[in-house]
Amino acid sequence: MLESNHSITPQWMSQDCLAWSKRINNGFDEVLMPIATSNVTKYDYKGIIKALHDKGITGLRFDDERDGLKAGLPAQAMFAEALGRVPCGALGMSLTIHLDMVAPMVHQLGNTRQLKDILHHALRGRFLFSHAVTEPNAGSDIRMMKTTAVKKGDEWIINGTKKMISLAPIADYHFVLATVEGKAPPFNMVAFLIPKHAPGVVVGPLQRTLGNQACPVADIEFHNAKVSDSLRLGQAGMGFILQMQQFVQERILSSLRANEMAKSCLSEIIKHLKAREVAGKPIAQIDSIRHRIAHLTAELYQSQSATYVAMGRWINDDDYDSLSATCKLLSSRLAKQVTREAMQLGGVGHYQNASVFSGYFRDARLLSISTGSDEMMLKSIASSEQY
Amino acid sequence: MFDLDETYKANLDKVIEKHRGNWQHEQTPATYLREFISELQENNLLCRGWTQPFGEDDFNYQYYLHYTLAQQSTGSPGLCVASHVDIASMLLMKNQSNEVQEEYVNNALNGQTILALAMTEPTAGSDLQGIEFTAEERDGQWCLNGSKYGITNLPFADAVIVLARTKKEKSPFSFSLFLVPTDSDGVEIHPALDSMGYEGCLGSMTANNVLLPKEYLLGKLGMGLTTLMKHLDKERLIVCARMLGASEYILSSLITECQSRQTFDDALINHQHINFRVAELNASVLAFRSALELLIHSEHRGKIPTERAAALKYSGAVLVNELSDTYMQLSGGRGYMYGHPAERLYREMPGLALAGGSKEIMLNIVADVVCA
Repeated sequence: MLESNHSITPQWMSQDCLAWSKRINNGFDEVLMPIATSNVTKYDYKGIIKALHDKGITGLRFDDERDGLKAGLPAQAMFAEALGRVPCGALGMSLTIHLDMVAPMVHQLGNTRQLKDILHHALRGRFLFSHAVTEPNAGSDIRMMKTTAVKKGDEWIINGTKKMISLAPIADYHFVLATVEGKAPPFNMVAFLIPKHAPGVVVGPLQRTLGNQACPVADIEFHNAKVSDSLRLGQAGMGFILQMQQFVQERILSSLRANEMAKSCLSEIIKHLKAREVAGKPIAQIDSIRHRIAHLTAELYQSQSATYVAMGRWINDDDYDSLSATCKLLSSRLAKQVTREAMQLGGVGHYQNASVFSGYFRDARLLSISTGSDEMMLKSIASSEQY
Repeated sequence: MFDLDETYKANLDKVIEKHRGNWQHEQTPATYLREFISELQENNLLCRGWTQPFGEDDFNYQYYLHYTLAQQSTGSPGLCVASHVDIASMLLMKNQSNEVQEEYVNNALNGQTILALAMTEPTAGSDLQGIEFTAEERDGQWCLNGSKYGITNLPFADAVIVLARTKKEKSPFSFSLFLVPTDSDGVEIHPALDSMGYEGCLGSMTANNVLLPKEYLLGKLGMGLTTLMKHLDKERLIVCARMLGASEYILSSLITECQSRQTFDDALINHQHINFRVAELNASVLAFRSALELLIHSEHRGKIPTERAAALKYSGAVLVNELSDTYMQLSGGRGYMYGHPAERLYREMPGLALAGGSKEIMLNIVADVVCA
């Protein structure tokens, strides 16, 4: 059973917020926990989202009449944490892409029609979103993007390639960022929701990955793809600004998930070390091992504190640029480090693909690469702190 | 964090500015400490964060005081003030039970009396159960024997709070605290230890059949260790506030150094390896600050989780040593020279890292909770 065990609670984690946390845990217990394992290669994501909607826990952060639960950002933070406790990276990642990366941008930018015709259904699991930004030569540095959008009448003609896009093989709408000719950076990008069957959209073959295997990855090519202007999100030219703002927030949510992933993995290791004996006593009583566990715990507290304070600043509309990059950097490294220690301390039994530790080990590695790599976080800290 | 009355901050800066000239390298704090403490108190800067009637019940002021003092051009005044006010005097204030002790508290706060807290012994450091200093009842008085070692403020203290064994049995209830005036017969205060950093601040003593009246027992008999344990969570947060001050001071000095030094036709900071290294340390400092902020918030609501305070102190110890090492490295040969701040900090930070219990003890405390 999922439980949120907060040994320290920041100001924003109110009783109301903790009540949401309980409701989210209960929802996940019924919907996600029975199916969550790193060994699955496929999930019915739309079915899962529908089930979560029926539990009343999708669209937590939105405050509109139609789709919002008005639970606010603190509840959304609890949702991200709970996802980290589900022992399957793919579920966490896929649901985050759909509900916490693309949906908020559609909500923020979408016109009344787009909210009614697309977002409303997406939050009920009728449509699935992918987030197609990365390109062959533009990963963390999205300014290098080459995909173009040219307006012709009521349509846009899109050309270019998006690389390694999670959920691409099964998404109904791809969130796509493209450059508009004749505009100067950073006001030269535009965002679209491109339907999977739009003419000229070609999704490549499924690509195997180290972990998160139930989150299918493929390239998407646009060959003179035609997209109606009604599927443009927000003002043409503001895409980059929007995306950068969203990145900074998304990093905090990624950190909440990564910290909980590390925490769950750590408590699994401790359980294992208490049960296993070497030379007549449980491994958990050997000093050097205890110190390694305590060291990881101290690192967890640091990462979690930075994340909670960053989240608080976001909620209060304060400055959180440096802290967002800080918590993303620390939480990604932490998850990687904890899962590696778990493999080491778990022994050969946990080197097997069926082990929960090997699942964590594979899944966690992506955190330092996606959503802005560790290197991007360092650049971002240096530039926010002006050196 | 530190969302305090701005006049407090301004007045603190003013007093520090006035006294800074006295804080020469390698000068014993004995020459300036009393005056500095009494001026802090006159300006309501010393214990404003204490409970009433001494202060205003907002201990953010205490953390800010120690955070600020840790950012000065020498760490000694900060170390001595912290040991005197929030480690020794506060322990005395919380446990005082008679007029003698009350008077000591008042004199300590106006700078007339300097206090020290002595736990460590030549053969018992972080593990307090190994203490050999004894106190025995003899004709209605206490008779003290033993030695203490590595104690901040001791070379110039007027009184020292001593943890002594009052029962032979191996039990956490075998220890008690005593207030020992350093001019008592049988007390010998040795010359200051020749330590690597914080020159003149650390000392040692021996007690040879020191006779003390009953009033000098502090708190309840047998409860010394328990009282200290409770006090230690708080002490660790005070040390962490000092560590945060030192960390931010080192980080900003380090950035300035890297912006002004040039190698291969560019400022050091513009070389990506160095830029990233600095950003990594910056991330650790921000996380450390966040963690302290959350713990202070938690204390305001009535609780310092012991394992959290210990984990933070551990992280701080790792951080200050890493920062001072990198600061020296990136300052090049100049940083190795006596008089450069990197040289001083490289000597001082291992001392700060030890305060409040070693890293290993911190890890044990965390492990006791998480591996239970």
